[in-house]
Amino acid sequence: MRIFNHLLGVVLLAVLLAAALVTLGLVLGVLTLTMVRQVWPYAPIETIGRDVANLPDATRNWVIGGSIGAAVVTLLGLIRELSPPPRRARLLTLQGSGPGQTEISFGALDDLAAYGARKVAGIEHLHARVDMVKGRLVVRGRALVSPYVELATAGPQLEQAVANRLEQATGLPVLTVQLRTVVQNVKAQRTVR
Amino acid sequence: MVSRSDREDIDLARAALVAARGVPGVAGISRGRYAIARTFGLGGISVEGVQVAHEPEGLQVEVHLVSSLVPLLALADAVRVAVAAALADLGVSVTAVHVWIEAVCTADDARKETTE
Repeated sequence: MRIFNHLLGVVLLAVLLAAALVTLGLVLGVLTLTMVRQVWPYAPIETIGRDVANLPDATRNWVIGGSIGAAVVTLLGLIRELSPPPRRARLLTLQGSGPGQTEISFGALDDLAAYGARKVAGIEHLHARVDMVKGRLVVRGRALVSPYVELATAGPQLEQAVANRLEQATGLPVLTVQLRTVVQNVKAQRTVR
Repeated sequence: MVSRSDREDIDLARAALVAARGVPGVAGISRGRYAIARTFGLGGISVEGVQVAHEPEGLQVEVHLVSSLVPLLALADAVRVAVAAALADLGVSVTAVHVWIEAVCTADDARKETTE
């Protein structure tokens, strides 16, 4: 679903960018109606193209400004949509005493968060990703919750347990814990702890 | 002090490994998550999880470990002290002990891994 949304966004932005550029081209006289007709021989497009190519002088500047603005905005949107998500550093350096560094892998911090979730009854599994933002830890993830658990109480308990576990282990403050809960199928196998 | 030639790196790595393993809260020694940390000796022998480096400022030891669910900074400091003391017993002074916590596990998980 997420990939589909991304693709849809890219297609929509590309169409908007193309429309803005064609408008700009027609108004500035770089493109002709014949060229547009060759690419897309469709009567409504031809009508729109003719209107845009023969704009009165008063509205011409507005259309140029608007299409430049739309092109820039859609281009920025496309760049944002197509650029990969920021990568997480591999290691977190903890400030300890004594000569030498203390490094902990972010993978270990993810595991630590998952261990924190084990303390909460009804949490079957937690897949967490810990990041560092301005010297504080940020946790995002997805928790698989038993169908017999009251989410209103288990949710905050889980967030608190994860934050406590990370704070105790690393000594760093936890800024936020954002967990999406997925209720487990009633017939699924459950962990007994 | 004993010079480098008197003590082979492999002996130092072994001593550091034993010292680190003995620290409460250390569940195991890791090979390293992204690159294998290893000290080589003569005859193809090696110690995994500990790397000894002779830097201009002195001897530096890198220990890669698996931690139990304990405060990690305190654990790293304890490892640092234990490794430095173990190497001091061999007559070698260490300028820095770098501790890399590669993974964490519960005591149950550690027990399961050793029995498997």
